[in-house]
Amino acid sequence: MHIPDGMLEARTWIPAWIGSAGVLAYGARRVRAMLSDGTIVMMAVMAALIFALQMLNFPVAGGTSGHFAGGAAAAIVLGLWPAMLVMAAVVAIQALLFADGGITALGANLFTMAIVGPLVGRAVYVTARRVSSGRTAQLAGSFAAAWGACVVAALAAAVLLWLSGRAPLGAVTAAMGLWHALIGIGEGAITAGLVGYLLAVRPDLLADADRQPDAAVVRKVAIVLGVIALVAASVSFLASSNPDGLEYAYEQVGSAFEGMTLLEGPMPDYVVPGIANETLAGVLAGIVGVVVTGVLAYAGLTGLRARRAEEGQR
Amino acid sequence: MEARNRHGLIELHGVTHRYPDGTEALRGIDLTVAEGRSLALLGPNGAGKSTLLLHLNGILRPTTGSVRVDGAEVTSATVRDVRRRVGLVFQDPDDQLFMTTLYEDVAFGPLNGGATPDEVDRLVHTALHEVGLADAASRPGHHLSFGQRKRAALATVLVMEPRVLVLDEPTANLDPRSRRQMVALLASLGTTALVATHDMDVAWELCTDAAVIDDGTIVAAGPKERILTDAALLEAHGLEMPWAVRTGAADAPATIAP
Amino acid sequence: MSPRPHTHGDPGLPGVHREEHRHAGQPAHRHPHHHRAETGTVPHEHAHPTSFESLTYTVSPIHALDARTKIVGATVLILGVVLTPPLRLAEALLLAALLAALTATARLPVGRLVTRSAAVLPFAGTIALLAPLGADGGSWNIGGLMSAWAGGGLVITWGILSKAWFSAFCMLLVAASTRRADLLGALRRLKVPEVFVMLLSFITRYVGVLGEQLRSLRTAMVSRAPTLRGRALLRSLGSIAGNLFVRSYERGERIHAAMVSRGYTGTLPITTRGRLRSADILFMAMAALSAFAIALY
Repeated sequence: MHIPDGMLEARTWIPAWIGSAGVLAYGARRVRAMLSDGTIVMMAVMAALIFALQMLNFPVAGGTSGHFAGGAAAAIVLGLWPAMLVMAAVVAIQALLFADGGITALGANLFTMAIVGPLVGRAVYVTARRVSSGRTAQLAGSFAAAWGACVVAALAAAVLLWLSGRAPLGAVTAAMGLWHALIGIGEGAITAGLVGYLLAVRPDLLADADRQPDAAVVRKVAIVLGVIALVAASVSFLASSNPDGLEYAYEQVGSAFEGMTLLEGPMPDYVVPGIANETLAGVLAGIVGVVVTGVLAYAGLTGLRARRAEEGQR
Repeated sequence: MEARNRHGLIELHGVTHRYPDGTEALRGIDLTVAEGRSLALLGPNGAGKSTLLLHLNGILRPTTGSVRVDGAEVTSATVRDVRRRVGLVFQDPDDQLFMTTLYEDVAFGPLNGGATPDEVDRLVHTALHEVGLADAASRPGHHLSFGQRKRAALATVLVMEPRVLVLDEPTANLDPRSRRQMVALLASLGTTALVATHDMDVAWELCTDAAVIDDGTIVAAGPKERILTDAALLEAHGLEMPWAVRTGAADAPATIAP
Repeated sequence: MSPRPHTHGDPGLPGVHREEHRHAGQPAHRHPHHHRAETGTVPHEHAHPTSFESLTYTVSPIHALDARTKIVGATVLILGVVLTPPLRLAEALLLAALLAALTATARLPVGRLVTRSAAVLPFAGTIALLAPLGADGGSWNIGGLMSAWAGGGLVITWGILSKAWFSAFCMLLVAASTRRADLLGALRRLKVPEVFVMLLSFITRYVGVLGEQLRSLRTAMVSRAPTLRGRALLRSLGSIAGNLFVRSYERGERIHAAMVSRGYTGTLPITTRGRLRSADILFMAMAALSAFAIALY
């Protein structure tokens, strides 16, 4: 799911870089304030572990295989901000040293795998814990968190690709979504297994899911992401009024084929993609972004209210 | 322990340590390491050796009792100074070689202590030379063989010129040649030391004194000639007599203490 | 981790405590040569962590360049390729020749870099083939796709594939010609936040150790249960992950203890080496010129 360079348009990867860098820089400050030096060393070793664990393959449908990603697991065990930083470091290393994902596209890859992934994972897990504090809820919640993180991160990547005009929205979300729904099963199971092991052996290592600030943090981050999504969509819309490389190519090459009787019908549409479509794209992106973040915020808030009610009753 | 008029370089008085989950790792430890002596801390696994060592530079604090280093009690105020005087070398070298090159790992101590880049350079090269790794400075620590890494870890501590060296299993898992190298290296240091080990032969070779710890308490302490020849004592606590003692071989030529 | 309650005088090191009571019987693993590349043993799309590390020790003019120069130079070149219309054939050939020349100067194995960078093609290819349909959806069937390709859509496909491949190659060139220590130092000097540099440093340092522990756990699992499938397999993998997690946590505590024993106060001390020399300026100028050339033509 690492997007390489050259696949996203500037109007997509530049806001993605700005947004991701902003969120992570903020996260870096929060983490330093929140944790002791010892825990930061711990995070660093965990980052190495997640990187190593990404070598865990499992078969997925037929002869293909998926691998463990770790965003949700990191969020469940380490907490939201540490998990984001840890995943960011992992994704960054993959881009810098292994060309797994481009560097202009790094902002986008950070967004999907280091921000959206842990965020969804943490939100789902925390919600599950609010529902019940039993072991089954924790394991089921871990599974759901990892599965959800996997799928939503993939959908986020799909949306980014669509925003760059790389693929039709329906097709790409369906393809990425379905594929990652399958991989998500493996990720979910391994994450649940990991959490189960920790519950049995070292329950003290699981980041306290009942900590109050969590819901507020999730909500804040969700809102920030929503704003970023809206900004990116508007920038998208504005930038597209200037023909970019893609459209230049369309125009140049398309016009060369004019007059050939073999090709007709849909051809003119490809020569100059209508502005109307771009507007629609921008608006839709904004709506999708807000809806997704709204759902997350709701989950977090419901959790918060439930806990407050609980405390009120004691 | 032989009585000394001046205070020991390391003194533990009535040290107990209870972990948050309630387990008592140390139950009333009294131990002294006198200056100019080297003490072998012997005991079966789980006896509390590692826990005890971590008290010597303030990483763990006693639940009750006191730890004094060079006359001063170990407290939050004195701990930085204590860590300069007590050089603690852990068992797993990978835990101590965490920077990207060996130079950086050895420089870590002096740099944190505020030395200038030139001083650091001098100190690092001296320390690496002392352990025989002078030409590996620009390589990552983890590219060395296990034996080299043990020596590298030692260098990261020697560079700080500690008053007392505390070693946790310095010869564990070393192949015979590396073990000999390490023993020779340690013997050449001439420094006050505390060596936690189950290698009875190293204890006999390198140390002047010995103490046996079992189940969180010191069951015996004194000169090695008395402790390491007491078969009944050793067996009762899961230890054995050193080979040299059993076969009546001659004394080792040098101990780690001067 | 949630900040653990600090009881009086006891920062708490259950890692050590448990190690004595549980792991004490296990010898530490010996890692005499674990840094040797073992690309064949772990079938996975992500490269083995140390597969390029030995290459970074080659001696060449490119290796001798300051790491910052290479990072910035590669970035400029990639920007030039990415921000401009798809390369025409002549441009692509010239760029390929440039990269080949750089690789040769760096005394690096071209074939290996080419195959490794080609790893981006499957993902890029899938999207690239669909891309000509564009954001407006088009007629998403073979007919629509065929006419899109024939109508010049193949240029878009070429654009995506060529950009992805060239960029990947550039980054790998940097990665294979720069030692980790220098790369991290360069990032720090390029103002990347300290937390990240520390994370990157630890990842590159400990992934080998942890990877090897993972391999032994996995080998043990496979030797004891070679035909594990489905849920049982996933559960075992989960236990392996959990086991490794606990051990890594305890290792983290020991590392912190080692750091603190040597005076660690919260920031990694920096030894910055390296000055920009004429070779660096020249390289940067060349990268910039190439990028402009691509942009202008």
